[in-house]
Amino acid sequence: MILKGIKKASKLVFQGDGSKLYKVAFWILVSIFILQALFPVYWLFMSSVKPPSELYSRIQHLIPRSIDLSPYIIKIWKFMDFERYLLNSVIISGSTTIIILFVGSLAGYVFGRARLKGKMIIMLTILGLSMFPQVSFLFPLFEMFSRWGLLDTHLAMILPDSAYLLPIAVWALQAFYKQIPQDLEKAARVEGCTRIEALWKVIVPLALPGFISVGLMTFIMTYNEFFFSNLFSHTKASQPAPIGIFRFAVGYYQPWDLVTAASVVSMIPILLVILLAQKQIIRGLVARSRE
Amino acid sequence: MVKGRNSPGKLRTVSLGLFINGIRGIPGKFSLWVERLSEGHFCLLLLSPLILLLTVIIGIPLLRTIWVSFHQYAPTKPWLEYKFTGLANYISLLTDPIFFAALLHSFYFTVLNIVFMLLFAMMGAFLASKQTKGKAIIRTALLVPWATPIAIAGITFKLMYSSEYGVINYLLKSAGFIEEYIPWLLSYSHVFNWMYSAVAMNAVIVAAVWRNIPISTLLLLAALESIPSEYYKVAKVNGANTWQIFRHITLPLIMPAITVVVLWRAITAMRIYGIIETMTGGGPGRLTETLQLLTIRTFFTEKNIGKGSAIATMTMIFTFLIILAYLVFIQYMEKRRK
Repeated sequence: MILKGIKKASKLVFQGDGSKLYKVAFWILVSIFILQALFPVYWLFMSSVKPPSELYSRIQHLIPRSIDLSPYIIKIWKFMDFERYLLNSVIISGSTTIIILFVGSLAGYVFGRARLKGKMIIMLTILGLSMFPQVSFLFPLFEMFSRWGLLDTHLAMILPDSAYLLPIAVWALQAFYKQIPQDLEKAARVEGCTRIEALWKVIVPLALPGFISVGLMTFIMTYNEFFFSNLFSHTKASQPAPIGIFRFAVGYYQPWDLVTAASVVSMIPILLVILLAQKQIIRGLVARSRE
Repeated sequence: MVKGRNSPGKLRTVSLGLFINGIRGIPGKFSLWVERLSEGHFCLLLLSPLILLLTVIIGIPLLRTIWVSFHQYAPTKPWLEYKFTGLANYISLLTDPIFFAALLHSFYFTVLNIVFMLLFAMMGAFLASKQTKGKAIIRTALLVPWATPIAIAGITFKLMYSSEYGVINYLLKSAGFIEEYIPWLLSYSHVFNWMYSAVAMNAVIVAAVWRNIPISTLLLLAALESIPSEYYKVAKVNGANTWQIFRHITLPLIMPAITVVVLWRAITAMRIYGIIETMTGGGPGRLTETLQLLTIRTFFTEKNIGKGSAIATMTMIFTFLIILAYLVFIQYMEKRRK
């Protein structure tokens, strides 16, 4: 009975014969899917513009009855110094992206184009390293950073972030490198380019779309990173925005108006990037796991 | 002697000039030096930043964790240094019910996470592959959960689950499903321990699944789109019905992608931390405490470095087994492709 129902339903979904029933079912499923994806973010935004009387009420209207923008205009800047957290976030994600693109462009070249013995083994080892959970190297790293005085500085997040995300970025980059024809490089070498010139002036520009994809992906993933920033940063001096917000939200008194408004503000840059460059991001996401 | 000829100012200018000339020569010399390298050495040179970074940040600390797991160390008494204790940490671990509880939580989390994520991801991928209009909308909508920072996703779900002003409670009550507001993330039941633990855990899993659906959907969608449409046409001409087409053409062809998604999710579920830490912090009690949270609590709250390292090493072994399965599978696929 149930199996029959499933069969019927799957028939409906897969057939696509253009009947009216099929179309209705299709769009209902699509809207369920989109609703589940967007509702939490919608709710976050709606909570941030509610006045406290509605925010802390047992009755939650799906569309707020009145609007209070004071968290955005004054509160998060005055009571939270939110600009400081945003700056930290930009510094950390920006530097990590630059490091990953530089190191990854060199290593990706080797993996994607050069003929090297044992290349596959090195690649798999590197990929394997990034698959271990972060706790497996957490404490020695913590010890090392505290000895070097790096705790609670931006570097304490930039270094682990770039090391941990590099393998994935390298795998994605080498896939882009592979698509460039070998002859171009040879031609450049015959023309009298040195190795470094051939790499920087011929290959890297051709792989630029790949760099943009990987760069955007890395930026977003570092911006969203939680583990290292939660454990290696303790004060406003180095905490990125999501961690700052989290620390505000777990206290005894939970200022939800501040927290939600700050969350929305910290998500704006990322949502902008997604709207402008979703094609590149999807290409990067898919490329990294195609292999 | 003309005064000022050898004045420090001029000396500084001269040496600065020499210095700049020296620097200017470096790229040329460096590039000449690179030209003389053999192919293999050139590759090593390009790889050296990657290898350096990975060794210092991941490789050495990884080995040190294993080493420390056989020692005892108290950060509050640094003069005691690391004392070799053999397998003591592992023995205390294997007699510790908290460790097994965390193991069980991790396992429960991983399985449910994968099942529900796969269900939704398959649905999303099929929907998106059917129509171009639906695809564009779904793709854009999908990137939003993926781009939500973990901490903010956790906080948002915490707000939605709130027992006093949570929208989930409000909606369920106005729809008549529940009588009283349920404190989802703090739920208690004295009868069955595991049942009670499941309420908070399931609430966390919902949030984790929400954040994991996008990437799996995009991967499955890419696999679906790479199936040539001729296959479907031939099957239809030969009179196959939709279920048969799905069962005998689509499913075998996207099976590799499904396996990759499942294994990838299994590996990342081993390191789940952010969403649980932000939503419950391992609570209520220790009922949502997974292996990662237990390790961090042992390190930083109990300050028992040896035992924490032992748990971390165990986690490493579990992950290694999954990675091994992943690699074997990749090799198998390579062979089959050839």
